[in-house]
Amino acid sequence: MFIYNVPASIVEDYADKHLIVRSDVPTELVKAYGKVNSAGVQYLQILQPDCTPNPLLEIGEPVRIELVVEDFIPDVSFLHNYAEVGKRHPIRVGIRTSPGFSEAVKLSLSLGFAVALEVTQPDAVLVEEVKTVLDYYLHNPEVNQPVDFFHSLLTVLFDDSDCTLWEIQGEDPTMNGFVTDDGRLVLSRRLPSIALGEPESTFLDDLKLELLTDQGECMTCPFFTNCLGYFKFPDRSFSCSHVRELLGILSSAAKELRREYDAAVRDEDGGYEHGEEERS
Amino acid sequence: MKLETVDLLIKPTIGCNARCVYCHAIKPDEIAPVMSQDLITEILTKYGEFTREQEIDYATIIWHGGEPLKVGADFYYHVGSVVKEHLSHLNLMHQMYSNACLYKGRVREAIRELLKDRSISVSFDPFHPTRLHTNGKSNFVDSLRGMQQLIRDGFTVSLVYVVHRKSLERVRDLYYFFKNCGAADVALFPADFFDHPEYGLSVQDWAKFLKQMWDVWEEDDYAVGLSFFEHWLESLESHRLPESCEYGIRERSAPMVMISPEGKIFTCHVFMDQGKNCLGDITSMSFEEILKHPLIHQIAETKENMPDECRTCTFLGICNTGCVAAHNETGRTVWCEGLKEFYAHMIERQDRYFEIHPQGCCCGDEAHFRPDAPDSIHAG
Repeated sequence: MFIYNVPASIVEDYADKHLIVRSDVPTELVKAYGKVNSAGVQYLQILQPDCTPNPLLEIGEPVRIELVVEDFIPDVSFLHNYAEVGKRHPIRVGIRTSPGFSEAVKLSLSLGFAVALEVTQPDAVLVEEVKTVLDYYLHNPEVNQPVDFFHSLLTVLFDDSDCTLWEIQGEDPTMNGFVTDDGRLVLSRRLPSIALGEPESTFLDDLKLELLTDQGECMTCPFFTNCLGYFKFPDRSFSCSHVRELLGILSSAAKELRREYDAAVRDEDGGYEHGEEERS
Repeated sequence: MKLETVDLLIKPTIGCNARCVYCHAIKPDEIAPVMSQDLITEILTKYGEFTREQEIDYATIIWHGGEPLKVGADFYYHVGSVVKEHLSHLNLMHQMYSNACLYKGRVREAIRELLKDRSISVSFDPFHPTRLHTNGKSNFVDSLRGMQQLIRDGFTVSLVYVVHRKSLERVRDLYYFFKNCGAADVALFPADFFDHPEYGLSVQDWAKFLKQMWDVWEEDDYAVGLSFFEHWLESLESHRLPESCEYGIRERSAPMVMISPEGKIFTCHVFMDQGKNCLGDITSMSFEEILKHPLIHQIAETKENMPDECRTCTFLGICNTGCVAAHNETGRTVWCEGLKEFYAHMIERQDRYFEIHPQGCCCGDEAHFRPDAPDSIHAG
């Protein structure tokens, strides 16, 4: 399945595709939603969410909504305005990680909204803040919504799957494309300079070969299988040392979970066998 | 004795597109023989008749070299047609050992068609210029490109890595590279009989390398399939010899016949490279004659006639005298002391592996595995 992220203004051109429909304002999204096959809509994306969300209540069936918090906004209290909408539609808040972003994460979670973090080559200071959010996600018992990419990557590491951050972040060019306002197909909003000629892109295959032969840090990175150079864009010379610490925390958490899970399964099997013996 | 199967290892050429620094097998292209289509037809036809008469219903053909892709697409298309005509009664698996540099174009198409089980072993060296093109440059990038194409084509790619002295500088890096390149499993071989000032591996180096590799493997919860480590551990668990030619034994009911580009017959591909212990010529011998030849079980017999030092060794059950081609004049593997040092390390550290892979020891006696146990680990 290939998913196009398209502006609401040109949604009719993609009416039969799998879509993420984006707009600054809810009213335009509601109109666009009426013009496409609703079964193909992955979610509606609001780019300027500090607005009145009530038009979204006009959509009768539940549809996923993503609120994009692009840069640090001192006051994210507007998220409270979505409490009513959240009762009808599942809401996720997409938050670009920039200093201070953790407040938006905590408020989103307290309102029962899922969170998706957009991370681009964070420096050491920002990684520290991301680590505090990771700790909050991992250890705060009140968190009952996923915080991505943590949540998906944790699942992937737990299952020992080879799913990559490109896929988790919706930037796998074999599955996702971003249609710019002027109609060009590019990799994503985050990386608009990477043009996609066609949906069956060899971008990740080419990237993998390049990173495995350039004698750089990806060649021997313990997290390459699931990262696949995600943090090497846009600046290929970016050093991942701090990011690796972050991924190491997630990896340790996944291993711990796996050990506990396996032990629990073994206990359960043992108990069952014991019970069988008793019954016999 | 009823034959279960007879496997073939065929070297269609010992010519190679690489000049690996430790290789003692290949010859320059101008004198490297290439198997003719007539000869491969004769081999497979005879093999088909024999396996049909013996009611053998499964077998494996391993394509080896030199570089087996060097003989080109037409050779393998021809093999495919002969197999279809003469070996259709067999559940036949093809395997191949290659550096994968030539896996492209028509060769790629031919190999995809022949290797339907999608299993292949590829070799390269990511960090040191030990595997070179004929122009002297490392073939790593071309090999890796071939490997990645194989993976995209649905192959399960095993990696063969030859350990040399400089490998010791990059043990952790090697481990994670094996993981990152997508190898399904990795076989680590020491560079045998390679007395080189820069790359020559000593027995102590081999022990050190294996121990360090084990430690990284353990740290990563054994995520990469390191085949010999796994074979040794399975052997500890099952009390059966490892499933490998090097450390196990080939059953007499399932012999392997190895054939050179000229049709010469051997029972070990290293002996073939060395021109030692030739059984005869496939054009003048039937498979019945080959399998009655006194040398056909020479690997098993060599292992059975082991020196007393091996017979009383604690680690016999997982080593079984090691690779016969690497035996010295005493009848032990030249890597003996290094392997002993590693085995002691492995046995000391095995508990965590079995915690994660908790099938458990069949006898339930942990002391059974201890190097200081009164008997050999599971001799006999």
